[in-house]
Formats: sequence, structure tokens, C-alpha cells
Amino acid sequence: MKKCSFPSTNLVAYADGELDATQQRVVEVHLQDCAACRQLLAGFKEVDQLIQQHTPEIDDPARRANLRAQIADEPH
Amino acid sequence: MGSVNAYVVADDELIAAVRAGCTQSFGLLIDRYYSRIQTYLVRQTRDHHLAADLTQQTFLEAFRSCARLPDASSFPAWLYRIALNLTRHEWRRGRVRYVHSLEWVATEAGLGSEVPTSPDQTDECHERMLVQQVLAELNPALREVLLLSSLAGFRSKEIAYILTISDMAARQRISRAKQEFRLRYNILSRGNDDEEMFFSEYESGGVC
Repeated sequence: MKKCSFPSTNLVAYADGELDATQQRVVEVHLQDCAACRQLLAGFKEVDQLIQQHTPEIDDPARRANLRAQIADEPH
Repeated sequence: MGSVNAYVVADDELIAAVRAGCTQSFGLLIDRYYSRIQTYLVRQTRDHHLAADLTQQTFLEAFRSCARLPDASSFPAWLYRIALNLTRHEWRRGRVRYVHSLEWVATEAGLGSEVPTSPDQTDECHERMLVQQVLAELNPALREVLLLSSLAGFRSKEIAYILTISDMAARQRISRAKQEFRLRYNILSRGNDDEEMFFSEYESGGVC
């Protein structure tokens, strides 16, 4: 696939919803014509899904309860 | 039978209550963020005991300094920033050791002694091991960014704040981290002699 010089940082900002309307439109127009960037953006989302689905959350209810008790005793 | 009004108090409202002297409100923030911070710290330090200590220190520091929180709506990012700074302090003291072993990867994948009883469970096992192995092999700076972006769900501006770098630097790191992860993941999941040996050792150990 032909490599693209469009900055991948723009795709990161786009995926994060951090672009204004004009910038967003620029990215969307580019994506319509660029398979490499569409693949890169899809890859970003795939990585997010893989890590979220396969990284178990760790909890410790006992320590959490102890911490709440400790906070309750803190001078404030 | 009516509907339950499940009003969730926003972080900034809880912070305002804490600042007004309501300690219980901070307890709700602990409930909301404790496991996320602990998960992040375990993956940063690869040491459950150290991570538990740092989790506690994070919340204590947050409680003691919440009056200095510049913007109550940025509480999550601020909390992670405290956690990261505490981790870096321990790193400078030499207390953080990046243990990279088969057992650690299995532990981070949350795999206990249960043997999978179906092909789906076996696939799930392998997938989790792959993901955790790739995360473990990444450069720490890239892993750090992935934990904040992909796992914790922060946007690049928030990650920039947490890491005290520019927005552009944060986006560059996020892009590089996700591309690197995907590349390594694809290589591992395509399968090769090394990978077959890896899974063979793992399964014969009965961990999965």
C-alpha cells in the first residue's frame, strides 16, 4: 500500500475528538481518498479494543475499604 | 413499578463537597477510581505490593491536596499524574523492576490455574497472553502512553498534561505506541517457531 505523508498525529487528534470542525473536515476528506490512513486509523481502534478486552482490571476491596477508613481519620 | 433514578454525582461536585469538608464524598471518588489506578500501577511497576502501596499514596496525596486541583473536572487526569509521579519517584529509588517473565505475563493476563474447557476459552487465553506479552515487551515510555490512552481512555491533551509534555509530543507518542503494538501483535499472532515454543512451555506448565 502506498505510504502517506499525512501526519499520523492528525489522525490521533481526530480519533480523540480534539479537532475543530474545519480540521475535522480536512481529515475526513483525506480519509476518503487514502486507504493507508484509513487502515492506520482502524489500527488505532483495534489496539484500543485489544488492550481493553484483554487487560483485566485489578481490584482489592479490602485495601479499598481500609483506605476509606484512613481518609475518614485524616484531618481536613 | 417506577424507574430507578440512578443519578451519578459528577467528579467536580464530589470535589466541591470534599473541599467543603465532606470526607465521605472522597470515599465515592475512591470507589470510582481505585481499581483503575491500581490496574495502571500494577502494569507500570509489575509489582502488586508496590502498586498497592502507591495506590494508597496516590489517593492520600489527592485528598490532602485537592484544594490545589486547578480544575475539578480534570480530577481523573490529575489523579493519574499523581500516580505517575509517585511511580517515577520509586523508579529513581530503584524500587521498580521490570520483570519480564512468562509467569509475569500470565499473571498480568489474569490467568489462574483453571484449565480452559472449550476452544473459545483457549482462544481467549491465547489472545490475552499475546496482548500482555506485547505490552510487556514495549519500551516503557510507549507502554505508559498505551496504558493511558487505550486502557484508561484519556485523550491526547489529557495525556500531555499527565506526562507534562506538549500536545504534539503526546500525539506523536500515542501514534508510535499504537503502531508499534500493532506491528508486534501481528508478528506474534501470525505464529512462528518461537511463538509455538512459547505456548508449548506455557500450556505444559498448566497455568492456563
